[in-house]
Amino acid sequence: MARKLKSDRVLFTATLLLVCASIVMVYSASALVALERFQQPYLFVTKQALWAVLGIAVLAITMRIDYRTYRNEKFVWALLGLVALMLVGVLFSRPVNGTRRWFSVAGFGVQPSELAKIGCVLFTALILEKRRHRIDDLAYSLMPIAIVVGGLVGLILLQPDFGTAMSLLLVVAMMVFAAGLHYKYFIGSVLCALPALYLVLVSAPYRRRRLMAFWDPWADPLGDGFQIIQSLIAVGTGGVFGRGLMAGVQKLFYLPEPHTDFIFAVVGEELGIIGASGILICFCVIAWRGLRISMRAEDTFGSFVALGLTTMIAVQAFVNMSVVLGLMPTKGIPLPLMSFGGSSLLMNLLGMGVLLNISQHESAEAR
Amino acid sequence: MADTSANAWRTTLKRRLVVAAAVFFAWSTAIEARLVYLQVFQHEELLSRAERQQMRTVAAPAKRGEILDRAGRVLAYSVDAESIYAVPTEIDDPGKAANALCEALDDCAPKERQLLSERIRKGRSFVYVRRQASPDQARRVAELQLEGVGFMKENRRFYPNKDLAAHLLGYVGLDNTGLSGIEATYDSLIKGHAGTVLIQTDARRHAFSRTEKLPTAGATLELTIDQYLQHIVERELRAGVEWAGAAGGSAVVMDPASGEILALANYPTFNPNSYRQFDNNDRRNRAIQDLYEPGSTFKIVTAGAALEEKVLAPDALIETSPGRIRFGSRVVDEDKGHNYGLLTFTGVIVKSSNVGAIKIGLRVGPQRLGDYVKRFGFGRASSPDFPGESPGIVWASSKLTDSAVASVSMGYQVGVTPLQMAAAMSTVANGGELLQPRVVRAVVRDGKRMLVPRKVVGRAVSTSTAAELTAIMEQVVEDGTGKAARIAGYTVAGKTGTAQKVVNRRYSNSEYNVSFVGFVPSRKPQYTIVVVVDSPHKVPPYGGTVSAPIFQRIADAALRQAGTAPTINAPPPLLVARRDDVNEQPTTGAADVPAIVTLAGSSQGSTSLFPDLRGLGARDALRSLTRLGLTARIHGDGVVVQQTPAPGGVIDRGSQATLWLKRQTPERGVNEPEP
Repeated sequence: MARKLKSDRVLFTATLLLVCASIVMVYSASALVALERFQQPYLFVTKQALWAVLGIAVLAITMRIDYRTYRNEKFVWALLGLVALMLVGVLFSRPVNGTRRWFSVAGFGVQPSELAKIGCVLFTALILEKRRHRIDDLAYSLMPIAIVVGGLVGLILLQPDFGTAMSLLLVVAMMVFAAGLHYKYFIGSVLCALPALYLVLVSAPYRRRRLMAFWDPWADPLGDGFQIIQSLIAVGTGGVFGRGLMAGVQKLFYLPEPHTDFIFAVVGEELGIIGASGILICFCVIAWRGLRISMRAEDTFGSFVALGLTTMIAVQAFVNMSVVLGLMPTKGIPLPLMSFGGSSLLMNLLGMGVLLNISQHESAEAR
Repeated sequence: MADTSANAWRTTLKRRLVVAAAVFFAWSTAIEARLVYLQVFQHEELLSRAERQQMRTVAAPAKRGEILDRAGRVLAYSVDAESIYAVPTEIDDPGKAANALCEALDDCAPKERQLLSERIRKGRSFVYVRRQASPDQARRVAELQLEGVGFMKENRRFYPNKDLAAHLLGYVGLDNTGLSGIEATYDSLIKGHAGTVLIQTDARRHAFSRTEKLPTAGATLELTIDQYLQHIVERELRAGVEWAGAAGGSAVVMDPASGEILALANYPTFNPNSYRQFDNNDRRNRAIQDLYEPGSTFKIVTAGAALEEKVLAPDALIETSPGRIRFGSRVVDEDKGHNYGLLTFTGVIVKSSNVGAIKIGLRVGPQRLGDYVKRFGFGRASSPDFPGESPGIVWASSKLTDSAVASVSMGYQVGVTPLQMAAAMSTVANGGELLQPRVVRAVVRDGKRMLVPRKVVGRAVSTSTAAELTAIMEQVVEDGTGKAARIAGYTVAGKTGTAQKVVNRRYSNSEYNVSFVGFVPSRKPQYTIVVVVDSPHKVPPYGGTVSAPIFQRIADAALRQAGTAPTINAPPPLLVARRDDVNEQPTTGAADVPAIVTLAGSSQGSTSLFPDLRGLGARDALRSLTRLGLTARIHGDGVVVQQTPAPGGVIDRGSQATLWLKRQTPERGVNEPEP
């Protein structure tokens, strides 16, 4: 068994760069808002920095734990049980902005849906490794995944958190796709999903309005188009070199969530196309190295976990950036590793640690 | 088998991952393309959108320049005044806010309170609460710390001398724009350039940063006006107009050598600090806006034309019997039905004979008379300093009939302004040059003082003609119609004018414009003075009875104030050239060099001997000193017992004398009442 204890430095660097950029940008985006709301300019950045330190510590630990430790049905089921419990529990929490997504633990918000992603990736990888050989036998291979993932997605939708639910589905779909499920099933499910998607969108008026605002934000610039317009204005004003760090204006209550969902817009405004492209490149590097790790992983489980974790980061990042740039309808998805949000950062760094561990175990035959 | 299975799995995975990579690649390319589109191609448009929502531009008013008199005394200046405004969208309770504001302003009526409350309630983005509030009001409002109430600095114009030179200075509106007078004419100069304050605001309209483009302060204007002289003129004009029971009056004092207006007054007048409380009649600058028929003063023009064209000599004889002259059905009489009989040319002017003047005018002829009317500056606006100036009404030479020539010869059927008359008389005083009257002496901007040059419009008559006219005008004052203008110690040249006003399209027998024009000292003219009084009722309405005394008092005070040496051994009235204004460059060559110069230089700045003041009372001593343009410090009371400088000592203008007084039996009439 080829075993190199050399993890992917490029991936590690890109991750670290993003986390550092995150602290800087969270400060820039949140200082004045925090000052105005809580009289503490460093409130958000302090929390973010603490989470980042914790997250990097967790990354350092998971990087050293052999990923095959997780290839344990009991462990995965226990994890899923915990996730389910938390997802149910969170429904009884105090609503924030009309949604119930966070637990408050010692002043820090904990988001169970972030853990759900890790749980789903591990679970799906486990099932796929075992049942991959009969992947096109839907009842055999996909049914368990569909039940577990579907259940969790359902719970997440109850919060409601449509964005996270969708990205979770995408991550799992990507893993199943990589496992070799015939293309016809994907085409079929997309065809089935369309009416369902339509129903989901129609059922919640805010989602429909957001969708319409995406098509034509200028139709209602002070109403539903407001967020996307402010985001476009922020990015557009940045130009090539940006207004300069801390010099952005759009974060001053024009952008709805400057330090979380729209942090990429702040990057675009303050650091220009150079800074925004830098962030995009970092995520591309993560995607590239992640897929490379997945390809070269020693075993099937490693491959699928690597793919899942990579997709988790990449899909969220791309969706978030697309939303900020008005390429997709507005969804409440943070930019992984960048946005303010402790549990998201922690879970993503934990995932990266696992990914880095997998990168240490390269299969000789994969070269 | 395990190997092949593993390989098969890997092959599938690789194939699928390549697809996934392709998807990610396409996606990231799309994101990058979008970034380029937004940040490069859409940059300008989105930036302007951002600025539209983030920026509020507030004009930072420039400090309006000061207006000074010729000695640098301040006639108008600007002070920063706080204007209080409200942003109604930021005010939760308009009624309460309005009440609090009114409380703090301390001077608003219940109606104003109501109005303010309504204006705030309307929810516009900006309303003025009070413009140019007093510092106390601003402080009290600031202490309230009301949400949505702000301050901005605005210029408030202040005229420290109240109505002094009001018509000349004009006034400034709330928006810092000059609305009248010099303030309007030179608005663009005085106003400066407003700066801008770019206020960046957050989405809640709270300002968080300001970028200021500093305003450029306006230029300071130095006027030709002498504040003291202006005060004298206003005082005497007012006294004269009130004494005569007249509707109004104007007086212009001009330096005949430079064209500088030294004083310009109108009555009734107004206070530019509160110009809105006065009506148009008060605010009208009669001296430049009101046309009047000059009457006999205009005979100087007729005489000038005749002398210059050598139609008649000053000693030519003119028969004015039988005291009337007929043009078809029109008969022109001498005033009061006089019949002066045979008069010399000079006598015609001295006695102000209408028939004589008409005969002179007819001898000059329509073409030349019309020409000279224009050469003396009538019929066109005389100065760019007064944009509201009337050009006046004159005949085109070609249209002058005999009857019209007759009217014009004696100053009827022409419309002139007092300012034009002052310029025309200065022509006589300075040896024949028509100068542009001007009020602005210098413009001071960025620490640089730019003098406004003397401007010669043209030559009206030759220096010898001017000298002959001066001699005639001296006689008018010596033993003609203008005796009331005589000043002890000085020779005075003048001419009276009494003209019937046109009321309801007929010449009125009760409403007159009475005027006196002249210059002093006539042999070395320092002041050209025009006094026009409109419709005197309480006293006989003649230029010689109403205007000449006003002229006399103005001239007397002016000469004393300037310390002009009395005319002793007056030089012959040949000519006069006073070129003491070294800053001025001659604008024309030859015209500036007079043919005959009998006197050059000026008494100003020269030294004279200090008088013996011992034994005089304080008042008399001071009067003597004032006459010499000196001031004194006085110790004790009684009569002067000691003085520095000593009697006969050399004195310097501007130096201060010191007098020691002691009580003792007055040898002379100390404290005698002023005459």
